[in-house]
Amino acid sequence: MKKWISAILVSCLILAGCGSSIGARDNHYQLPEAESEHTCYLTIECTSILDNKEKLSKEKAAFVPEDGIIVSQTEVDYQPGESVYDFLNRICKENKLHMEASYTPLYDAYYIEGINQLYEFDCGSLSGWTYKVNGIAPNYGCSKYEISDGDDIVWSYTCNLGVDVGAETDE
Amino acid sequence: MNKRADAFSDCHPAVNFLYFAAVILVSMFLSHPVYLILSFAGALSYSVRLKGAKKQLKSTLMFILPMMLVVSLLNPLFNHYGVTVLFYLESGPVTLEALVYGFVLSSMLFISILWFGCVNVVMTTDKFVYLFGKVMPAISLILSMVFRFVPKFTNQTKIIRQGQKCVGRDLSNGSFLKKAKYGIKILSILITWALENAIETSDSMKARGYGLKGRSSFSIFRFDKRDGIVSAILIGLAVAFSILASSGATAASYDPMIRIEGIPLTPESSCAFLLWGVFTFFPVLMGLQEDLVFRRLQTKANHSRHDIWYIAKETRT
Repeated sequence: MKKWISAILVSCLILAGCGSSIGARDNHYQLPEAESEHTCYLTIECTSILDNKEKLSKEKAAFVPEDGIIVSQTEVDYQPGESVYDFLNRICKENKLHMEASYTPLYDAYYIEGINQLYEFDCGSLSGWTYKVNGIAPNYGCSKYEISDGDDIVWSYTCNLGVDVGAETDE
Repeated sequence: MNKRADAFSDCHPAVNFLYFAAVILVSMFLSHPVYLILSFAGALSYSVRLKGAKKQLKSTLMFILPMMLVVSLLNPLFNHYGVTVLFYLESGPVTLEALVYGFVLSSMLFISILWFGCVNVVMTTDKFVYLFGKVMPAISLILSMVFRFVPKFTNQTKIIRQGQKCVGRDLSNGSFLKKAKYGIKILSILITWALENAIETSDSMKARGYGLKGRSSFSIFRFDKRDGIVSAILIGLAVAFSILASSGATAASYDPMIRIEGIPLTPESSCAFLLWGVFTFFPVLMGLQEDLVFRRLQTKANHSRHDIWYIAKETRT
């Protein structure tokens, strides 16, 4: 049994050697240029952390870009019928950008817990990721919003329930 | 239960209780690998000393290690933080950091179980009731009954099974349906016994005036000089350790990158490791010291007996 455990640990270490390292430091992520006729715009930013640096947990400081922009506004291909969540998930996987989401059966929707190692609650108890499409924050989950041509999708990290990034919802 | 004399078990219950509370709390909250390894070694050696190597190692291999493996593999399936991606699953990336943290979490669980095994042997019911019977009679009685619950039930099950076996109604007899019937019969007897036993216990405690003013305990413990010395050493170790540990010289975090401080050894971290090592091994060290003293006294006694016999023989002739 002990032999097994050590074997597993050793194989993990070997895997770690092969494993790819993800996490942007100071440089932005460069997404590939749009090719098809179905395109939309994607931005991922965490500028509001820059105003709330004192609340940010120490371990995560290395993952906040200097200007707070993880992906600057880029025109990207999307597949027709994709939701904002599917789109983000695919882009992150293809470009080795870290992202974690969880599914909530009650709302039948996905919730984005963290992007680029920046998780909810990492910058105060009111912090987390919110999204806007064409400047408006939809009042429902990102896996419920179907993308249409030319949509401007912005993922912002808020430190105050969306108030500081202009993504307040009426409720 | 406790067949072998153990120096730490003979200390005042308050010393035992505070020691275990401290060592388990620290093992549950500090995730530094060196602390965990030391705590694991201390807990394992003490429980081997208390219960015997064969029994302890058997339960470790059969139950705890498989469980540990499951827990450590479950964490990366549900948590995807970390910068080192091993491979992708449908739910997200599986990372080395989450895997390692799963291993750390499961070893914390494992170490706590080992320590609680020692607590069960050292903190007997009478010690527990002695400590808390005056302050909170009802809770301490319930707690001491809860701690005894599983061992008592397994014992009683064995007794009932043997009784049923004598009348030919054992689980190893008959067809599947009959086996199930016998099993349910045994369970029903066990539950009836447990309910009756609970009523009898409470009646008996009431009849003896449990919790009333001026009652003494079943066992009387005295806080003597040795208890004073032991608690002074333990408190000193704990205070020095908590000052060193809270200075951040031995911090460890696994999210988003594995960051373990204190290795390679700095003066501060090696002091902290040494203090913690002495703290976790304290009961074993105390037992070994007592064994040593006992052996020395024994040989001394043998010698003097020999001397007297020799001298006596000389004088006779």
